[in-house]
Amino acid sequence: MISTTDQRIVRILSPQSGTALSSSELDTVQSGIKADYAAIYYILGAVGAGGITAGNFKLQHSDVSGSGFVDIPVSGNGTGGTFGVVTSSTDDNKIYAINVDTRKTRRYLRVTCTAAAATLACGFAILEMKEAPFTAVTRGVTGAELLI
Amino acid sequence: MINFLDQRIVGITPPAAIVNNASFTTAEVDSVQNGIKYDWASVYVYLGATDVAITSCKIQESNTSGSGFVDVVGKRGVASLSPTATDDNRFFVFHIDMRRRQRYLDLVLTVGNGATGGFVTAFAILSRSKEVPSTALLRGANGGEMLVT
Repeated sequence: MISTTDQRIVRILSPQSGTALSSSELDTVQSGIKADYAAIYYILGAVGAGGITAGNFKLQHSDVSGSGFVDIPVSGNGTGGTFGVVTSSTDDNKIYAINVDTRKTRRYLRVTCTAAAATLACGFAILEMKEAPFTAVTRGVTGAELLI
Repeated sequence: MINFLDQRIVGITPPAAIVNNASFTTAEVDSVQNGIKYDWASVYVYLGATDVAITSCKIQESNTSGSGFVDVVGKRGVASLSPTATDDNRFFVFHIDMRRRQRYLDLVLTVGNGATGGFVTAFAILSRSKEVPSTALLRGANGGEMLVT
């Protein structure tokens, strides 16, 4: 099994520079198929002065598209949906991962992220579907795909 | 099995200032991480806003870190993709069987001459290692990792 061809990648924040770096919402149902797990990645480039302060980099969920988003609470095993402080001096070019059991969250997810000063960032999610995608499009490859 | 906990993400080109008529700086991908060989590498080229085509988007390989890179040639020729000026916000992906390739990969990524150029990020997801990565750092999450259950 080649695991990356059994997953679907979804764009949630295109590569860009800014302070408002929240993602678009992630629908855990894609093409009618539910994802049981989602790995949400944020890759940062140069982090602006002041970094990202506590509480400004977190995961939210909702049952409704476009509204009703609330923070993911800390769960019984002590895990939660908020990253700690991101600093401008030490956290350039780092990768942040949020691994989510979407069977236990609401259907729609989003990352809220606000930097103190212009910061380079991108975000995407990798979904593990109940049925493996079998085309480039259903794997989320909106451009093109090459198998070597 | 949760596949993405068995994979490792590796940055190639972190989000950078917009580039026009120039090549992006790319980090080579070592298919051996912490002494563990990964059999597959998926290299993702993630476009943001762009007003010009990517003139070169191809994979090279070498047995030596930092030198000796040559184009990867598959059954259909040189392994290259051709994002256009209207491919804003799209993913382009190379899935590579590393059992048949040299140890190190490099992405050649050059943006054409447009009005402002393009935002591009690139990263690799390594999979099918003989031993699965057991910590956030080994999975490549060098900033932080949260588990939401």
